[in-house]
Order: sequence, then structure tokens, then C-alpha cells
Amino acid sequence: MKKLARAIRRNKVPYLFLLPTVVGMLLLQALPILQGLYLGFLHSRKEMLLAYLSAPWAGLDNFKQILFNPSSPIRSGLWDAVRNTILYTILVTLGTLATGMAMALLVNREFRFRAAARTLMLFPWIVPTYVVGLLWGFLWQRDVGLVNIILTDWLHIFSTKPTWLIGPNTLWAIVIPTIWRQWPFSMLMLLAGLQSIPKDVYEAAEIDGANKWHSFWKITWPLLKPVWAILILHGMIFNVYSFNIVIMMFGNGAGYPGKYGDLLMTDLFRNSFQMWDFGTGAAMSSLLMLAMMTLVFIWYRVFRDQLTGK
Amino acid sequence: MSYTSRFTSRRWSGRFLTGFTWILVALHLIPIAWMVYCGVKDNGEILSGKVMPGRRQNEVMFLARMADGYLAGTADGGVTRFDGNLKQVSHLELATFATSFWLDAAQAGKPATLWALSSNRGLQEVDAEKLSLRKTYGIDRMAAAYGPAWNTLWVNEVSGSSLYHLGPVLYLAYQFQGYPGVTAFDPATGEFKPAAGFPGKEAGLLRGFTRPDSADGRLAVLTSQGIFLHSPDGSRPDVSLRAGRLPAVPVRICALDGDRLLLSADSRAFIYDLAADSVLTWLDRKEGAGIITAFGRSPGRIWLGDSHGATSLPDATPATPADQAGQQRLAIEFLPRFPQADGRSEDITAYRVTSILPLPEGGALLGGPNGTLSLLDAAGEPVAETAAPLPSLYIHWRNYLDLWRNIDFGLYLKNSFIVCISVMLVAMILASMGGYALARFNFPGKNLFGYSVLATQMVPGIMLLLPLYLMFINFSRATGLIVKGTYGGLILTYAAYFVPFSIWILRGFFASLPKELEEAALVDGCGPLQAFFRIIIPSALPGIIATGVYVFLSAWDELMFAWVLTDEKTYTIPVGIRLFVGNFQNRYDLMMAAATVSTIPVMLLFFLMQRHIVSGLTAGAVKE
Repeated sequence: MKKLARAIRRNKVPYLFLLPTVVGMLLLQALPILQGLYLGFLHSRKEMLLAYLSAPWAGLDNFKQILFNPSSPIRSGLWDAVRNTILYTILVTLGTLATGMAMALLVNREFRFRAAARTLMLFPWIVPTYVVGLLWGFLWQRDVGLVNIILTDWLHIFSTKPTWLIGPNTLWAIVIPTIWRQWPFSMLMLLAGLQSIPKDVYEAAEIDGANKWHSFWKITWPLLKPVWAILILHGMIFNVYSFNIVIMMFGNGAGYPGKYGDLLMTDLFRNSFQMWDFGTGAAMSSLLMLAMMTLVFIWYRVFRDQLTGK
Repeated sequence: MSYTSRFTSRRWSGRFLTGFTWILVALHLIPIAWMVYCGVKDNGEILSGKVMPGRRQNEVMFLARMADGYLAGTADGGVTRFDGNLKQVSHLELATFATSFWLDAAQAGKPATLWALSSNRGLQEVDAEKLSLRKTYGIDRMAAAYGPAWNTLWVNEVSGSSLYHLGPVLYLAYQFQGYPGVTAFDPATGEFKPAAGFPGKEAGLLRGFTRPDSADGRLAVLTSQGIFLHSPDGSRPDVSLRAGRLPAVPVRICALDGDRLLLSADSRAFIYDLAADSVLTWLDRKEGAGIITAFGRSPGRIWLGDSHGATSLPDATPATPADQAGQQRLAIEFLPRFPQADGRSEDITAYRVTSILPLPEGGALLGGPNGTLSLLDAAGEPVAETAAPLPSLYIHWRNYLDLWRNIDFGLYLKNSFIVCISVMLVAMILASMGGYALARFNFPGKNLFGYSVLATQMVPGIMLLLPLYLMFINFSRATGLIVKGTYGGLILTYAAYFVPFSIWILRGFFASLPKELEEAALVDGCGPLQAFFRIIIPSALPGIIATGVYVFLSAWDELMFAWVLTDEKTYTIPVGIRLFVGNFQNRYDLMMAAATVSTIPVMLLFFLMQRHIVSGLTAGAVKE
């Protein structure tokens, strides 16, 4: 106790500066998270919602329903959402990284109006994600969408207009717009990384007879490790929790994404705020949080040096 | 030698790569360009898959005989004068939508006046001789007659003409806010006021407006609820005829004289006698006759325009009224056709007659879609054909007006700005304090705080949202203070989410500032607080602003929390958009306009702050 008092007296300024933030975080982050974890063990649904934390105790029932009861109504569509989320996250994260890398290499050359090209490339990254969902939901429309007008009417790649927003194509319909919006950010970061690599490294490699392909994989890629390590981490968190693009794309924001387009967040949101089942929603979020923390922890261990900048 | 060839090949591959880069940039921007473009396009064109910009609908709405020829008015606000052989003399483009016209003949000292009523410009007064716009009485002035609850004007719902000059008053009929209004306009004073004696909201949807040429005629309004006749000078009693009393639901109306109304329902037409209060006669139209699209009348003759052409029959009142089955019919005896006036359209609707001007010497002038005109002689043979000039390409700004008038987009925009600016300011203040504390001081709990900041970024939003929702509701039940649905609740929630993140970014900025800055200040006698506010904040301002902008952009983009924690007074843009698409199914034009409006503020902000944001974000990537 004495020790604490002394610590506070000695560090008045930092404690004072952090006080509002800490209070805010305790009230609006820590407290809800603890309640959220607790809600997962309660039968908190519809008529029980107002009972709040005194809703009937469910024990591990919610978790059992989610994990082991295939006939539970909560389960319907859940594993589709899990599968879609995993595929979506992998495809988007890797697609974003690959596109961003290729474009960063293209823009890293000297040419006229390079700054303008870079700025124009950043455009989609500033478009709000809900607008991205709305806009691409319109672009993917079967009859009036620009994608089908270009592919079928102009380029004649398909003989009949394909359906994008129903069926297995849905996965591409959500992956492509997300990559479209996110790669400029990857490009920006990788470009900054590229520009920090000293030129003489390449000159030395060229003297040693390395071609461009070799020098990319042996020099550029390893030296960019801090950048792509953090980009993949960022992409993982961001895309697993992706919500806006998918929710806005189907039925112009009022529809159901379907078996191949539903993500964990949209499934959870529907389950919680349309079926008013908070208990299983909280249980599922807890599981998701646990999974994400494990994943991030592993990633952090593997790339610790790069991520902490040591 | 080998060096030169290598040099040139490099130059060419370089040019190729540069060109390739620019092509990719262009492809990359297509969706945004399409969004902006469709925001100013007509939804009908979007739905029919037309990519190129379109023109306004310009079917001929109005035809009149002038001393030396004809005057034609089209729905797009095109006013054209032709000579007796349909050679164009002069043209005026009012650039309006769904325009309706009325011509006042020349009076002593005043040349003929053409009145044009449109859904975007209101009432316009045109000199019919010189074809010049004299005056515009905007929609706002018309709206003022009905008080502040004004939303939208629909004149295109009214078939045929929707304005008539009667005595000193110009009567205008248009739909607004779901109920029909007949407005009296006094050209002498320029004043609009609701015309007395006409029904209001209970009258349903406005469909037609007419008055006979005879002196004893009343103005007749056709609505979905029935027909209402009113005599402004009080010479004849008002009549209210419920739709249920009619044998069919009429969609077009034409008053033949003081007592007889010509009414049409799709392809059928009948004459109703008000004095006898019954159907006088049915017009004998063949099976498969087109939908009636226009009426015309001349002494002793009735003209019908339909989707195939025009027909005419003598206006002879049968000796005895028709029985209920409508056995007695007037036979059509004159069948002119409406020739395709030019090869511009292969569409079957090109033969639709949209207006008829019967000529005293026999024959008629017919108007159709695409501004086509055809002059028929007394035998029904075409004598001359022409078309009014095409309207110029237009930008559909109306979508943006509709966003504000029909959807409460202004409110959503205001809410988003209030919430995002507040969160930005809170984050900038708290995060510069917190970031400074982390960067400059060593204190117990520092690492714990740092890790919890990182951990908050890994929590799924819904994990917070479920308890927050319950917390807000139960807090209100316990204390009576409303939190859910207020700006404060959302701002606090956002701040709690964005401040830790901003602290993490700003920590780096403060750490990169040289320590000598504060040391010098402390030596000069400043306290630590003074040093922070006087020295540190100004030096780190670019970083603080960049962080603030980033918070603004992120808060602008937030949907899930706003969806749950706002109500109809505090809906932010994403929630508002999501809600209106349910009510405006397939209105892609409105949706893209809304999308454009929601993108413009963040785009502007980004380009003003681009340098700061880019350097702030990439600072981590190039950290030594």
C-alpha cells in the first residue's frame, strides 16, 4: 500500500495523463469484456435480455450447443461462416500482400507523375468499407452490374451473365472488393520498406551475377520481413472481424449473404440482434477471441524480432 | 555496341512498365468512377443496362396553334415553334422534367404567354412569341403556400395538362407529400396559395386535371378516390363523384362540356353524364386496341391517342342514356395512323400518341415520344413530319436533391460529423497525454497498460457490443438517464475503442522527439505540465493531427456499433443508408449518390492531410 502511494506520488504526471483513458478503458472495454465472458455462461435470450446478468445460469450449455450439438439452431450456418471466414481471411490477406508487393515494385521505379499515380492508387483505400459493400453489391448485380456488362456484353468472356451474389461465386464477390480496398495500404507500407533498402545491396548482388528474380527473393523479400509480418498480422485481425463489406453487399444491406458469403461477424450479429440470443453470441465471441489471441500469440512468437523492431 | 542495345531495351521495357502501371491505375479506379457516374444517372437507364449517358424523356406534352404555325412543348422542357409545314422556327430548352404547359393567347399590350410547370424548376413564364424565359417561380415559393412540411413535387403523375387559366387565376395541379394539391397562382402578384374548394389529403393520388372549353365548365380533378368538380366563380355547384360509382377506375379525364366527362381506363373509354349521373355511352374500341394515352376534342369530334396511333369519332350524344351493361356504343369511324416520324427509334412505343391538337380545317397535329410530330390532313394522311430537337445530355442532380428531400440524408451527415469530430477531438487530447506518458516516463504498470492497449485491438467488436447494449439499457432503467440513442453514448464507446489505439501510434511520435526539448524548457523554469503544453504538443502537432484524421476516418467507417447504439435521431450515415435501401429497393441512382456523398468528406480530408497520414503510417515500416 505504501509502495503504491509512493509510486503515485513520484509519477503524478504520467498517472494523471493516463487517468481518463484508464477510466474509459475500464468502464467501456474491461467491464464489457468481463460481462461478455460471463454472458456466455447465461441463458440470455429474448425475454431474458432485460434480466441482464441475473439471467438463468447455463453453465457450459451455450458452448456445448455451439461445439457439439449439430442440430442446434445456432449451429445452422455457423460452420459455413467459419469456413468462409477462414477462406476469406487467407485469400484476402495473401491477395492483398501479393497485389501490394507487385504494385509497390512497379511504383518504386522512376517515372513521370509517380506521386500522382501513387495517390490515385490510394483512392479505394479511403472509400469507407460500407460504401465498398454497397458499391460492389451494385457492380456484381446480374443484369445491371458493371462486372457482367464488361465481361459478358463487351468482352464476351461468358455467353450468359453469371450470378455473383448467389451460390459459390459469392466468396469471390466478397474477396475481390476487399482486396481492391486493402491492397493500396499494403503497397504504401511495402513501398516505404522498399525505399529504405540501400541501393548498394542490389549493386553488390548484380556484380555477383544475381538476376532480378533472385535479388527479389534473396534480398528484397527478407529485408521487408518486418513490413509483411505486421501486414499479415493486421490483415488477419482485420479480416476475421470483417463486417461492413459483407453486410452491405447483399440485398443492398438488407439481405442474407447466403451459404457461401456469410462471415463469422455477420452470422454472430444476426444471431445476436435479429434472433436476440445474446448468450450463445457471447459464448461464440469468447471462443473467437480465444482463437484470435492464440493465433496472434503464435505469430508474435515467430516474428517477435520483426514486430517489436529489435 | 552491346551496351547501347541493352540501354535501349531497358528504356523500352521501362516505358512498357510505366504504361502498364497507368493502365492498372485506371482499371483500379473504374468502380469509383462508376459510383460517381451512376449517382448522376437516371435509375431507369441503370435498370435497363444502358451505360452511355441518357437524355430526358421528351415526349410531346403540349401542342398549340399559333398565328403562323404551331407551338410544341415536350416533357423535357423543350419549347419549339414550327411554321405551317412543320419547319422549325425557333427553340427554347428549359431543361426541366415532367413538364406540363398552358398557353395564354396574346392580349392587348401583352404577347402570348406560355406557362411551364415542372418538377424541378417549378412554374416558369415564357414569352411565346420570342421564346424567351421571362420569369421563374421556383418550387420553394410553391412550397411556401403549404408551410414547412414540404417534400416533393410530382407533376408527372398528372396525365395531360396540369394547369389551366381561369379568369385571373392560374390553377396548378400537382401531387405533393402524397396528397393532391390544386394551387391557385395569381400572375399579377406572383402569389401561390392552396385553391379553396378542392379536396385535400382524403382525395388520394392525383391523376388528371381538366376543364371544358365551354363557359359554364367547372375545373375537374381526377384522383384515385374519385372526381371532384369545382366552379371557382361559384356559378355552378361543386360535385364530388366517388370512384366506386364509376364502372371502371379511370386514369385519364377530359371534360367535353359543362356536364359530360370523357374518361378512360387502360384501353376502354366512356362518356359520363353528370346531369344524368350515369354512363352515357362507351366508345366502341376494338379488341386489342392500345392503351389510351391522350385525348383531343374539337367541335363535334373526339380524338383518342393510344399506344398504336390516333383515332377519331363524332361527338354525338345518343338519344337515350346507355343501360348499365353499356350496350349503346359510339362507333369509331376515322382511323388515321401515326407514322414513324423518323428512324430514331425501332421501339413500338414510338407510335404512341402523347398529345393531339385537332385542327379546325379537319385533320390533326399529333405528338409522340422523342419529340416526334406528325401533321395529318382531313383524310388522315400524313402531310408533314418532324421532330423537336433532342434535349442536351443532362446530369441528374435531382438524385442529390432527393437524398435531402425524401431521405433524411442531411440529418445522417450531420450526425456523422458530430460523432466523428467529437471522437477525433477526444482521441487527440487523451492520446497525446497518454502517448507522452508512455514515451517519456517509466512508471509501475507501464507494461501492463501497453499490453492491455494491444489486447483491446484483438477483441471482436461484438464481444463489447452485446454487454454495452445491455449496460446502456440497464443504466437508463436504473438512473433514468438515456444513453442508448444519444450522441454521448456513441462518442464514449468510440472513444474507448480509438483512444488506446491512438496512444499506441502517438507513443512513437513522442519517442522520436529529442529529449532536449523538455529539458531546455525545464531548465527555463517550466513545470512538467507547462513543458508538455508549450513545447511538446506544438512539436508533435503533425503527428497528433495525422492520428486525429485517422480516427476520424475509422469512426466514419463504423457501422456495427452505430447500428445498435443509435436511434432515428442519431443515425449516422452507414446506418441511414442501410435503412433507406430497404425502403427504396433498386434505386441504384439514389444509392450511388448516397455512396458518393459519404465518400467525399473523407476523400477531402485525406487529400488535405495526405502527407501527414502517409508519413505517419509508414513511420513504423521504415523504423531502423
